[in-house]
Amino acid sequence: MQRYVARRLFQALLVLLGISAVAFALTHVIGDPVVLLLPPFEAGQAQVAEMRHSLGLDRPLLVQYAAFVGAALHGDFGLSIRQNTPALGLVLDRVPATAELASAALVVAVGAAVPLGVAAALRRRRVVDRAALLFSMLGQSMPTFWLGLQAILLFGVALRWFPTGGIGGFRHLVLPAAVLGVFSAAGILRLTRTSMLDVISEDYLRTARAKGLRETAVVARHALRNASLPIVTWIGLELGTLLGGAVVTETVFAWPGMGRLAVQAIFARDFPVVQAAVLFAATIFVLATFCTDLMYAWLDPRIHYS
Amino acid sequence: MTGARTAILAAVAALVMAGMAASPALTPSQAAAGGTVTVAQGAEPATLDPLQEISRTGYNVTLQIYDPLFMRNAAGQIVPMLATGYKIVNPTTWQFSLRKGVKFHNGEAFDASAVKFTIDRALLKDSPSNYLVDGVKSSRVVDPYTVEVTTANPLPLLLPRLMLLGIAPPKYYQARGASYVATHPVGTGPYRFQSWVKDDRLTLAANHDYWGGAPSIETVVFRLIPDPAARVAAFRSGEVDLITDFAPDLVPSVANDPRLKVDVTTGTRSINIMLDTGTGPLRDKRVRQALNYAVDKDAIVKNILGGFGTVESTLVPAAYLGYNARLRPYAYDPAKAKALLAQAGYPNGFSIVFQSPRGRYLADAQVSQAVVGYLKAAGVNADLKYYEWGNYVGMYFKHQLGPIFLIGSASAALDAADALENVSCGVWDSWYCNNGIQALYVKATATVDPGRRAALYREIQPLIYDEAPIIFMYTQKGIYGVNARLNWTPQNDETLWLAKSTVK
Repeated sequence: MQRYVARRLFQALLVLLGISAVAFALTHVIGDPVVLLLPPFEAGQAQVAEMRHSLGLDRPLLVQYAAFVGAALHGDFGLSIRQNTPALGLVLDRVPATAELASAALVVAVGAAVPLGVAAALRRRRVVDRAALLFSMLGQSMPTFWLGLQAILLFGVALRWFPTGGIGGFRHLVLPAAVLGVFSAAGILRLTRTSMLDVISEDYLRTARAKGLRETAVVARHALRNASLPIVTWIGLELGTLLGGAVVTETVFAWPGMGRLAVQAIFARDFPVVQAAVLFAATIFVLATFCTDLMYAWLDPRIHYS
Repeated sequence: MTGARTAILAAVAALVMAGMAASPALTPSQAAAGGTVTVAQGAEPATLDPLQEISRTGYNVTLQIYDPLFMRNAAGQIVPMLATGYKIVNPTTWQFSLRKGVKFHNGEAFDASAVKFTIDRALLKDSPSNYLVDGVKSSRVVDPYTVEVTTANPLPLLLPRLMLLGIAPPKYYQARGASYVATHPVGTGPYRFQSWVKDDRLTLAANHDYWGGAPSIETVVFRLIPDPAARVAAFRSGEVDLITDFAPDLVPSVANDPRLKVDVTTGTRSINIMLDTGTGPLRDKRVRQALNYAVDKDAIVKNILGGFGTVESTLVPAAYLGYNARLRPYAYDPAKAKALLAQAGYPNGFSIVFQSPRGRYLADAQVSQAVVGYLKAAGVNADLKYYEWGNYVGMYFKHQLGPIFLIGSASAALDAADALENVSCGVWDSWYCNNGIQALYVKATATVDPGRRAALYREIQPLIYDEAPIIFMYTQKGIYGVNARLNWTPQNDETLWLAKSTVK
């Protein structure tokens, strides 16, 4: 077990190192940062050279990368070019809003998808099943910005039940969480249904029923527990994705989260913020995956890590 | 240059602006004070340091907190703010007399040292506000309420440029540091900073001690709603009272609601198709004129911009000083276009590259596509290439775009010089040069007297019109959504000024 965890950790670190290289390279691929950053008027050569020097962009690439990784390990991504404050601080400022939306969306997604998926599997090819599949198909194929705008127009403008956007109390959270949740739910639902169908015809379920267990107990304790492995994996990855920020939902609902910060930074060529956001999101994702791996042991005692 | 000199010397006599002695820019509102007004924009300032923030959406916030020396009123006239008047001592020396008894929100007194401090900071090479003091050499405190500004050459645009420079408190800056000021701004303006939830909302409270009279609206909230459709939705729900950059295609959605109105200004963002007059067929004036006749600009504005644009006869929009109202835009005349092309030796047209940004300007991609369609009808096969804005603007700065490309420009100073620079000689953002026109342009840009300067600009435009170094397109209108409970007028220079507004 310990060796397994150590190996996994090592792999995670390798992934992060790879991402750091990509994040570092990206900002140099999109064009000369100095030219992109200068305001739209004629800049003298001296000014360009001065800016390049002050940003350290005149050093060899490898030196720049080593300095970047070294500083990043200390949480130092430099100052935001646009806002003149520490880049990582800007990212961390957005974490509460993103975490709030991500966890609410995940609650919506799991709360809707798992029961529906189970029901669909139990009533295969019947109305519930068809409805669940239709919901899942629509949920995944409707663009989030479109669904979000429709939700705003209906519940925000026409009915006035919820605010059209922004962050605030619970009422502000409902629409974006529901819209983001529906998208995540679609995938979880399909997976729950398929996994349940896989185990539903297994002998141990027949045995469980034969020994007189109530149907709910059969489903919850035997079927769902055994079907849960891929579902948990999926939810873990989903959480990792959601915590990275949901760009489209955040934009439509004017939610001050990390996804939007990253996109704004990209548009503003604010590469310290882009790098901080990318590496932070990647770290969260890698951590979520790592935790999901560990969950296996708890869920499935057959898995031995040797 | 002699003409310009005389003009300046004529203005040397103490020049106090019309109306300057009259009441200040703002008359204290009679309506009962109170209430909250919420403004939604598509972007928010990166910082509240007035010297760091140079976007229009940013100025809309910072200019509530910081007063500049001068400002434009709703009628477009320049009115005194922290300056009460100016005197042109000699062609390169301006003296500004300052308002007395004004205090910053933290109690610090406003005087000449604050103006010098602000100008000096803008003069730093790495200051984003450097463009506002381009051509300024130095500033000097003459006495506590007089500041002298020296320019390298005569600089007629000094006054309008200073309208975007909010005056900052030097002691506060030096005590707290610029990065603290960026989130804790202190100015002399009608509103004082209250709170800021980044990427969500920024709250300002009325400055009851404002020198121009306390604003009637007690609280102003700036909300950030990046999605244009979501911004209109928030406006329709009544959550926000005022929105900027109203999407033209959504204007009909509020047509039947008496609580909501759409206010339109003639706008200053001019969209044009630039022609590299130094290469290939575009060297021939007849070809360039042919391209102007070939494009149905009215149809483009009507069908793609929903009518929210004005077809222009040159690249100088109506809102600028020096606009020539006597010119009529090139008519849509495909037959004439073909005839001119034939005369120039291209009876079967030619092939050329056409570059366009996608997503930077209102419907830019569709406009480019339509223009390419019209050109094709005239026999010119334009190969349309789209670019992401970051790359595009990089190529623009490096003078790498062309031979045909779409670009937008706007003059914050509302002066034709900023537009005509695009057809002047020897600058990075021009693809045309004509020595005769250049001589007039140089003369105009050194003429301080606005009337004389405007006359020179008006003289230039028929020449540019005839030379057609550009496919002259249109000016985008400014579209605002305004809740009927708010009494507010949009301004042509895009200034969003709430100190005089009232709510029902």
